[in-house]
Amino acid sequence: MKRLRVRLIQVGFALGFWNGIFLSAPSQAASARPELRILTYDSLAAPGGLGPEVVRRFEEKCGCRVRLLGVGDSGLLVARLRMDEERRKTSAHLVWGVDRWLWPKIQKYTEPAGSWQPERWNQIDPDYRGSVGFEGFLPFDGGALSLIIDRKHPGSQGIPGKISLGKLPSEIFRKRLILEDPRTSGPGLALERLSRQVFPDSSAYAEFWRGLRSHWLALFPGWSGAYGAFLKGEAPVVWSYFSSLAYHRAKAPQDASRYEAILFEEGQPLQVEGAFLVKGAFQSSPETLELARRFLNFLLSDEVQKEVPGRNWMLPVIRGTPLPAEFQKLPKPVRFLRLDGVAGVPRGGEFDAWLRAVQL
Amino acid sequence: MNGMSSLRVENLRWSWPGFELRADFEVRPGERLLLSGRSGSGKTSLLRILSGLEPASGNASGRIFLGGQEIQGWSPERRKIGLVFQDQGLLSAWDAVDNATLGWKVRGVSRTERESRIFPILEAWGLQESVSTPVTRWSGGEKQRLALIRAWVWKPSLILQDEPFSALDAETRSRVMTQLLAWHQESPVPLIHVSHDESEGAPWVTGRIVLKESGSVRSFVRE
Amino acid sequence: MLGFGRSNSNLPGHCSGVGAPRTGAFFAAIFALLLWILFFATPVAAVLFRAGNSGPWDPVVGAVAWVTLRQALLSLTFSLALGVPLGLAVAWFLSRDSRTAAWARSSLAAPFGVPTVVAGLVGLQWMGQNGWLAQAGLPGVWAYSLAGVVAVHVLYNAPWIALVTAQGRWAVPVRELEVIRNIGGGAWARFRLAVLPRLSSRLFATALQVYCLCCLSFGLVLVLGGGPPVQTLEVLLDSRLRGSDLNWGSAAWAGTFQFGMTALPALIGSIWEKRRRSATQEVTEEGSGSSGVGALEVSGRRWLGGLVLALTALPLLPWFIFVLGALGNVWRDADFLLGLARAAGTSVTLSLASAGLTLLWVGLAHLGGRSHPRVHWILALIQGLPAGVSSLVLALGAALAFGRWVDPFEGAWVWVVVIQTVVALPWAYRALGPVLEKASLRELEAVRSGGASAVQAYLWVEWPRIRGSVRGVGMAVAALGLGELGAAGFFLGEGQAPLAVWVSRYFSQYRFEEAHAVGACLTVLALGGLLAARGRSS
Repeated sequence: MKRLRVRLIQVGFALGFWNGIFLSAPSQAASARPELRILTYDSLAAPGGLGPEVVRRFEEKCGCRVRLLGVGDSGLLVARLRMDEERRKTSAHLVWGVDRWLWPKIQKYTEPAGSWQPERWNQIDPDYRGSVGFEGFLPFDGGALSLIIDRKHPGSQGIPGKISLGKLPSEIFRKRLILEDPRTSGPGLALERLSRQVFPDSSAYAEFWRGLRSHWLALFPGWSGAYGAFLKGEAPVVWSYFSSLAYHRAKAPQDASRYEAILFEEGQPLQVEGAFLVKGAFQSSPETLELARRFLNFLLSDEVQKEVPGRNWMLPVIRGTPLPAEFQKLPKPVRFLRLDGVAGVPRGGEFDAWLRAVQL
Repeated sequence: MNGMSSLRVENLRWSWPGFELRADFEVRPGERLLLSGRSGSGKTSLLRILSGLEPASGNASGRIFLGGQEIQGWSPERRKIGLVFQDQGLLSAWDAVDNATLGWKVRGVSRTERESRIFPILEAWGLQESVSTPVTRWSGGEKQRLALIRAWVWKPSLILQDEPFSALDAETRSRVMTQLLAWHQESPVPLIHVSHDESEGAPWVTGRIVLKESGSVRSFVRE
Repeated sequence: MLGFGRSNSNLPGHCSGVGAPRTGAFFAAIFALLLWILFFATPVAAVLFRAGNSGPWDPVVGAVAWVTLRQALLSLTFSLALGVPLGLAVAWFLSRDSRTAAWARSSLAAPFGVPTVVAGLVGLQWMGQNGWLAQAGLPGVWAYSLAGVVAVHVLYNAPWIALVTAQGRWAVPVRELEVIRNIGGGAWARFRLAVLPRLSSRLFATALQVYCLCCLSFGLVLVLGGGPPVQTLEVLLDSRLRGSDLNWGSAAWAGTFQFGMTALPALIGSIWEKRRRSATQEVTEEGSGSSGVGALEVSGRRWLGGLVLALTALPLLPWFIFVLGALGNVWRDADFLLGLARAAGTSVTLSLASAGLTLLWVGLAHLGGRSHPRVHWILALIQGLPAGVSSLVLALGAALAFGRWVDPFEGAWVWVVVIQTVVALPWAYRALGPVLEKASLRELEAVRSGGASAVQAYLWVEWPRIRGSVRGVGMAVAALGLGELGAAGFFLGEGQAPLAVWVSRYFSQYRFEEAHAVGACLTVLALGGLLAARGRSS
């Protein structure tokens, strides 16, 4: 009997082994179809996320094979590109899901657009695409970021619904703020970029962050940890997406007023996720370039855009895309921080000033 | 004064499952009694009881006097008894000097002083060459000599030796005995020498404790 | 003079003529060295080389190094302050040869295997602003600070130190204690002369490991540190390797500093340990549990035993409650279960493979060490070095050095296994080394002289003696691998996602209940494996 049990456990492990390691890599089935390789961040590629759904639909249309590799978070995407640069070998044709704020870092890895422009480029909300033409980065989804407050949290009393960014390091927020680290988190990066725009003077910028350092409860490495702590009641205020409100409305419609946004008088920063073609990936295969461009166009199609809110908790970038009910009445910010408002981010060591302010 | 105490064991009874040990004898200062008997007869147990190392279990009774004071119930460290363990019991983490002078070490004597006092002894016992070697790598004979030195040098009020010569060759044994005899004359405390060999130590034994067995009861009395 | 029959070899097993033939040992040494060069030295060199022309000295690295050092030393001090007295107090019970004592030993060692992803969550559950301690009226502000990080590190490491202390305590032969008592030494003298020498060498090695682990701490610091004012070099390294702060020059500084802070003490430690061991030969005569402390002193106090069992099981309580908290409706969702099973399959496979490779490697290094005392010394020294390198640095290095031959879409799960192995190696080598070196030469000789082959002799004499330890160490390595993310992020291909990845996946999809459930599954696998292995080995 015991022997049998051991045997069963062994078989289980063996199955897990093949299942987890080999069978899950579909490449084993050699295919004559053209192949499109896409790098993306993990949660977009995860089962149940938007990625697999988009891939399935695109494959039906193109008669090609799309391979989607999810690698950690969007910061790790940049590291992968750097790695490919180091080993002088591109591994993917397309990167999907990278943060627009990283554009200065990724531009050099981007296949120049030339005269090509996505079909629906002009239908993209200008807040998401900026005022210049297509340079290679295709916005695909996005959303405004804001402080979200839990009005049922005992610490939420007396916190107004609209403040100036400079007022964030004030007594009323002391140990009541959960923020994200700009070095490792998209939302955190957006807040840091907002502070750059609001405090162009470097000493005011340092002053702001030094003040904030003693006021935040925690600066989480990523949004998910931060939001998880917020939901556990660790603090009444968290830096998150407008769409978090939509999530709460969908989850508990009867309690819709519990969570609110606290708006900045200076405006809200946007996070835009997009896709781009990898430089050097198409040298030998113009037909793959064609395929990749079709994929970019497909990302802007209504078919995909209307899936964005439900599956990725972000907003579509194409104007007029129908939204689910819970997304329809998100708050109106004073204005959006335009992407082209913060330019000329220095290469390398760009967080030195920030780190010095919060660390030294 | 060290030499003037005698050991008196009165109606000692100590029992383990299936085995009872009794003892009733006196050892006067300067006496060297040989305690012999077959293996497993309880010789070692008696020494452990006298030293206070054997925990009382079941119905233990009787009284042990050393120098007129009843030591039954005293902790081992209070009794001032020098016990030479059959397996030597050297401390592996410490070197030969520390092991030989353990009695001084626990009383806070400095290393320098201990060295100056012990080196002549180690040399006289033929151990000086091994001093820098870890004691764990010493031979059985060397270990036994070290254990003897350790038990004697701090001048306890009673010496108990458990098979102390078993690993010594004849020549070394006679040298060691001569040395011990000199020490004992200088400090004539009661001494019990345990051996399974009746003839061992014959030249210097002054008397005997004998073992009488009746059923599961083993009694140790003076001859 | 009179000295005779003294052994000339420093370590048992050397040049003994029994066991492996010398050529075999020699090849094993070469093989172990090759593994080390390929899997450790090359990746590390690749990192240093590629980032060699890094920028000037970065003052932030210095500041972070200072925070790291302070945090590690504080964690170590408090772990020792708590663990050593606890270990001494419960040693008598732990040394027993009973089922309950075996459980107590396991529960002391087990928290060490909990994945840090989970440890962070549990830390918040207890110490957060809204955590249970805060709800019980204790101030909750100490989460998200240095104090929070230190507290969880202590919770992690103190039980382990207690176990090591207890092992050191029960390794003291009863005879030595008797000798000291007989000669007039009181409790302090017994502690100083017999217990302390045995504790110090063990504790020194363990303390070094705790220090290194706290220096390299990552996940816990991210969750409980509250932000950059409390961060380790590893956190800085991570953000500069792969975040939007991509700056490999500064990452190299951080990595070099980290290496200096951890590998150097580890190196000194292993030299010191070797010296000490060859000087006293302590290892050879340490008995098993039965040579113990005071089966004599404290027999029959049943209620006290129960109390100790409860006390030693206390460190398991937070994890137990965490797992219970995950028992929700998600477990009825078939899709979730299917995904979970797949991920668990991946995780378990990878971590078992790591455990296997680690054991093989330690075995080779040990066998190789038998070829010559100097080879033994060198192998011991270099196996200890990876203590100063994190999986992140290794993953980066491996990607740089061998990335050319890896297709990211196919993945290279072998490298995940390799990196988990290298990270676990110093610990495994140290944990198994003494057991392997304590060869029962007499018995081997007896069996060989009876006509058995070397392999037979090994299987009959050595294997029954070491298999419990081998299983325990293997399971611990597997448990450590379960929570590892650095290598997985670099080397797993399309669709290959272990459990730890699924925790963050679910989090970012607002599926907190599922994330909690996956965390619980990780905990059960890690703790269950450890407890099972140790329970059986005793």
